[in-house]
Amino acid sequence: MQISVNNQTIEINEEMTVTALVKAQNLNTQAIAVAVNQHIIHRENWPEYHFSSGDKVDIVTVVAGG
Amino acid sequence: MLTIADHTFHSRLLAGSGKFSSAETMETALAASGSELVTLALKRINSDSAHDDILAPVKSLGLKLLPNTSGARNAEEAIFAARLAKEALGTRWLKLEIHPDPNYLLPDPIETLVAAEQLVKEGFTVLPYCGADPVLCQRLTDAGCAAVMPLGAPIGSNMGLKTRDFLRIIIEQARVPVIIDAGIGAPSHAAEAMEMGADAVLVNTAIATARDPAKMAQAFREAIICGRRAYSAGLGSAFTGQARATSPMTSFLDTL
Amino acid sequence: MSFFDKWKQTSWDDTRLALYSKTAADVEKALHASVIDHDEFLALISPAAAPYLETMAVKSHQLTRQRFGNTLSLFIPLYLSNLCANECDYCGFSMSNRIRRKILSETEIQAECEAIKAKGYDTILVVTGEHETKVGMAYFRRALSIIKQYFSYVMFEVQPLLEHQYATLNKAGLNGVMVYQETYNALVYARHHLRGQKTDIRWRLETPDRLGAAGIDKIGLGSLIGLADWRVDSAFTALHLEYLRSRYWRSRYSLSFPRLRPCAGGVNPVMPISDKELVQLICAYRLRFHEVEMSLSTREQAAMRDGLFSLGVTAVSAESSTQPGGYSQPADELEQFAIDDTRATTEVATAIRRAGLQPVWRDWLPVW
Repeated sequence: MQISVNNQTIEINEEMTVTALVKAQNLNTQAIAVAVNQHIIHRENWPEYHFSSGDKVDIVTVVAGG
Repeated sequence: MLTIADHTFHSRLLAGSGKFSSAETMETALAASGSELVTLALKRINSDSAHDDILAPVKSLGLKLLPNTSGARNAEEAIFAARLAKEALGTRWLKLEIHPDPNYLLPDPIETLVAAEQLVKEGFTVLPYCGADPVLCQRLTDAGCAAVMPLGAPIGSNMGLKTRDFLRIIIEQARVPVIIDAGIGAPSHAAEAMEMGADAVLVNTAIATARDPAKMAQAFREAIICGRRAYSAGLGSAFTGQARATSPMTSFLDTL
Repeated sequence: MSFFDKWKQTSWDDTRLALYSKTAADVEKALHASVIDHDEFLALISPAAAPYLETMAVKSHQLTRQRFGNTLSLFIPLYLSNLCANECDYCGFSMSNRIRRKILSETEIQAECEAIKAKGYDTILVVTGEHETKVGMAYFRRALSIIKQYFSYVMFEVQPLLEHQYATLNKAGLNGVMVYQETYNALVYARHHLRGQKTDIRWRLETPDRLGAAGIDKIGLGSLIGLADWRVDSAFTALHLEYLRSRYWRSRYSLSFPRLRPCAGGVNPVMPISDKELVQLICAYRLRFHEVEMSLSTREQAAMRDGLFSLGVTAVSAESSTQPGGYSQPADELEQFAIDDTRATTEVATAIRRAGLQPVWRDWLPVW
């Protein structure tokens, strides 16, 4: 199925969890936040959270800024 | 000592982490600034580009984090950004900034107030970046913001305290700390803000883009200490050439 | 958090000590600053400031003219009732006083309004004794609806009410409320307020908080000069104003400085203020609060009032009667206290013009 991650459409299998997605994206999991359809998915819920087709996923991290 | 919400700081300099040439330069400059509260931004992860790890140097200095909502153009986006920031960094502290205008990055007062009201309800410690508008600062305070951050001049402009007469009113009316944000381009500007009675200043561009950022950070640190000391010592006011009444105002008392 | 908490944290004795230890140097420092803080205000009301009276007067005059222009507002009190359920030993309305009691009927209120309107007034201060059962909300609403037909700016000086009651009256056209604390000294307060709701100092201290929360346009404060040390009471009044104006920033504020006057069966002032000291106090208030309104009643004698027109006050009453029905049917035995300046309104207006000021009858009109 397809979901959108930070406005890029990707193909995932139905078993994929947030934890798996973050790992697949090769991200440093420190200081990142994940939201699905504008709802924050708390870190402790990542291992159980499964996506639905068409989900809009935001993954943000911290950068320098004033 | 500066107290914002339930937290006490020794330094009255809030430092921005943006625009440094490298993470190492930022780390030495932040260390030299003596700042204890540093602003950070959030960004969607783009797998194409590597991200500097800016958190490690900030954390190694033991600084408190103040994520901002830059990039948000309205209250809804800012509230979403705030929730993401809390999740990513585990802090409820937030510099709320909403600027729909891409040229001058001037803050939107209406969206900022709407977002502040909601975020305070959600338990955030909200420090809103705002115009130097005294009534807006009152409304943001009523909404429960922990401080107000009126601008001295457009962000990044290094123009100094162009809004000084309004900042004076904001400081006079303040019930929460007043942090002058944006436009402070030289240590003398920061000193002037402190002499006026501002509780703190936020500096980013002027330090980050100096030829020697660490040395400039040190200069700001000292200017802020000097300015605050002058304020607490009680500045004399300039001689205004006081007019004398032609006949004494109180002579009627002699006839009673 | 209300002013009651702030009041509890502020020691009367510490304030008195701080005030009386002020020196000439402290006064000069305050006089050189463009904006002064509470501590500098203490210097200006201290005995050390007495030699600087003329300098203070010049500054107060300048600040007042700069802020308010060359104008002075006129208002007049309208007494509706002298019934009172309190026992206050300085007031002619005290419940144990054997005076004739009267509550104006709707017809009588109309007659009073017409008599006052004929004198030219548009701003009015409605006064009653404090009698919740006979002169309470129901009466106030009826009276207000009549009075608002005649006058555009209506202020009340009645018993303290609840926040929602103030909000109701605000909607019905009430513009301002004066609630004088009399004294901020708990012991002295207890000594002079012997029976009735007014014995509850907290209820009274928190009244301006309720007014601010209800969004009343103008809130009037003041202490009754003569009950306790006026300097310390004025210091507390200034603290109260400072507290209120930062919290309830949409409201305007007004200060009064009533001196204890002779009345039926009343006490004499224990700690009087001299004329010079009253001028000092008014000027100090102006230097501390550039924007505050200050009102002066007919308790003061004519020559004193004429002198003060230029020195910081912004509103004066004239030709006042302190008894219910006094404008249409005068009868001295009902009055709250004796007034001193008995000149007719036209004479007072002439005196105001002589001081180079324009008498203003209407300085406010509802726009929306």
